[in-house]
Amino acid sequence: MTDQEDYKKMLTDLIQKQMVVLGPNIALDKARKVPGVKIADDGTVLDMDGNPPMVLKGVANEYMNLSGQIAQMTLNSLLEKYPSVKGL
Amino acid sequence: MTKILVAEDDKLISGSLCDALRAAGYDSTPAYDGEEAVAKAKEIVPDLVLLDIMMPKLDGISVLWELKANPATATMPVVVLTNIGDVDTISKIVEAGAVDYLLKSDQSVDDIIQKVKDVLARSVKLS
Amino acid sequence: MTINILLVIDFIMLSVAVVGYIYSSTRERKFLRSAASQSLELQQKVYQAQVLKEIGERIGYSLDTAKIVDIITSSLGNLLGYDAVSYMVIGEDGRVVFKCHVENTVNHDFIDEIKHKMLMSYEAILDKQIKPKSIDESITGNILDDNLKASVESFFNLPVVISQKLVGLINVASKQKGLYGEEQASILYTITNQAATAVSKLQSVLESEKGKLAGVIYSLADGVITVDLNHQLTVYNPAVKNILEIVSDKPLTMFDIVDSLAGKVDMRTKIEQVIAEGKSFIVPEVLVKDKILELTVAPVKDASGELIGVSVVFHDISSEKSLEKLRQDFTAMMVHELRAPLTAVRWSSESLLKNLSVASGVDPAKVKDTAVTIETASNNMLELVNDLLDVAKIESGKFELNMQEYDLVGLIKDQAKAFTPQAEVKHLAINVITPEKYLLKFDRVRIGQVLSNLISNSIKYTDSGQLDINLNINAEENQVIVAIKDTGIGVSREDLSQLFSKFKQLRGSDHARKGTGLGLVVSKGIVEAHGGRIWAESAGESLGSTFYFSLPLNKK
Repeated sequence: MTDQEDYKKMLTDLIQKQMVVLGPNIALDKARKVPGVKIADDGTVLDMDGNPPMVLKGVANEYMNLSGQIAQMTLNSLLEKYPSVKGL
Repeated sequence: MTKILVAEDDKLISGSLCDALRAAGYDSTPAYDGEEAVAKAKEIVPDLVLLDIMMPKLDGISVLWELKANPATATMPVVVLTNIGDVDTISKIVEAGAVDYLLKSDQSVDDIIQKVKDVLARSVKLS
Repeated sequence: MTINILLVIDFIMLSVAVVGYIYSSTRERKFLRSAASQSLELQQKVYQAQVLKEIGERIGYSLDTAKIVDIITSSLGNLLGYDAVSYMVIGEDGRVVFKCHVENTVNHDFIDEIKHKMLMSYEAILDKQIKPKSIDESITGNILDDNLKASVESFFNLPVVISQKLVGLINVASKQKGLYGEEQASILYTITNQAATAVSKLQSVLESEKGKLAGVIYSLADGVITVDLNHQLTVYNPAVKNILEIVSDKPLTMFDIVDSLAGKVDMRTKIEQVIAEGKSFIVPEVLVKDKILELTVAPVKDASGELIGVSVVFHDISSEKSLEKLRQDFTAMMVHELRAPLTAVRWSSESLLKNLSVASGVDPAKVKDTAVTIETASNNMLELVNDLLDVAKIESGKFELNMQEYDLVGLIKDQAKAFTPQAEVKHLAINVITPEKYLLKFDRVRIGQVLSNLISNSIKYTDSGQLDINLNINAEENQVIVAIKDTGIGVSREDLSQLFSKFKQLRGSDHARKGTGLGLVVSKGIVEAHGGRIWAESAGESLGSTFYFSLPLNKK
């Protein structure tokens, strides 16, 4: 259960960070393309009914496709913050 | 006969000088280095010394000092032979007591004979 | 360090183009916005393809970031509506540069919001707090009206990464809500990324080429430095450190170079000269740390011919110089040795001639010619030897003068008198037009040599007429000028410039008129050693010539 919560928190962090870095609309649009997750307009992850690692990977990929290096940097710092999240 | 001592290390120059002096009626004796020059000066007591600056064993200036230091040789007139290039030694020559100087490469034989005559005439007046 | 600057410049150019471009196509944008949204995706794809193709082609020719940015923005502007477009660069020293172009009137708060959002973006990317010491900002475009209500309702940021460094951030903002979602903004990111990647690739090619060049410069035996237009050292190689004997672990600066030159060369002035004239020149002999160096200072220009810096090459010629000196000394020594035997030959032949008149049993007439020949030949050789030695001394700088106050007029009169017999043989008159007396400090023997040389030349080359010798005192220019004018064969214009040169060759030289040819060279050396000048003027062949030399007046 805590894992699930971790994933939600991490994903929220990721999305919200990208909203600051890239802009709110584009960040949300990209995240919402990934199936299995409901995201509020402020970037908070409301629900994740898909496979969390897959969802996370999916969103991360969307951002990577958009802004490659920047997304990578953001992701790396997040990974440090959430050590329990593995396999990315 | 008037005696002239020719102190010059180059045998060719010495030879031609002595020939010229003899032809002009003087008795000339060569000396081929500084020490020989001082020795010959004491020995024959010449009436005039033609002295080359650049000589082995003892150079011209030192010979001059030696001659002046010795009362036996102090009064004899010395004409120094030099080349245009050694102009900076002229002041040394004058200081050391030379009566006159000759630029070797610039003088003809007649010029030298004339200079010898002039100096001899001058020194006769003095003594 | 250079890389960073390049990147910053790239980024600024990229942003300027984005900003500049986006704002230039308002009408087209409005038209396009009215198009159906289904076709928008198609349009985007078409644009993307077109733009990327164009970039691919253009990059092939040049690494002109401005052009690349131009291409991107020239097509993308059609897709976006915006109120303000801005860019921000944060330097390594913490300085923030912010530039904003306002398309539609907004208010100051709007701008501040943009700034804030961009700073936050930077913080999020770099994962650290940004507390700018100062913000260098400029705002262009439409006026700001603080009575207007406006806040940033939509925005997006384009980070630009070149060669793996975040070079800057572009922001597009609008009062309108709901803009810059995926539909509109995606493509901008794609194209910017592609372009940035291409630029990065080019950068690395450039770096590799620079690396090769640097490798070449590194291995040179000569010291090489280049400075930019601000006299800052940009390139140098190990040879510079060796030649100038600079010992330092830290990177060199211009200060190290100038310091090691110890004032022997004014580098600053020389560099300025090249910058001003755009031409290279050589500083022939500089004595530094017991070495003799030859410096070549040259302009460095970029592909378009613009001056971007100055290069200096330090070439060690000490060994060449010492070889030359060795040769000179050897020649001088050999020539010196010739003097004694020649003097002996001369005196002997003179005596021989004299004795011939008194010798008995010898027919003087028969041997006289032979004796005269010996005498003349030996005199000529002696003259040549003396001239050669003088020239050698002048060239090696060992020429000494015996300066004493003497009557220059008296000397001129003496020389004129000495040459009168020669002149009379050719029925030439020598006129001396001078004041009664003129006292000056000079080397009597040497100036006598000069006068003798000039007068004898004039007589030699004049078959009829006269010689006029003048003396003029020119107080304003602090000199006295002696002129020897003749009515002789004159000198042609080409020969005039060669007269005082050692290597001159007079065309169709008159072999009947003899001479060593070095007389004028020696005269030049003597006059110049006094600080004066020597020159000749002639109206042309058979129109006579005048030879002048000047001596400086004594400054007390």
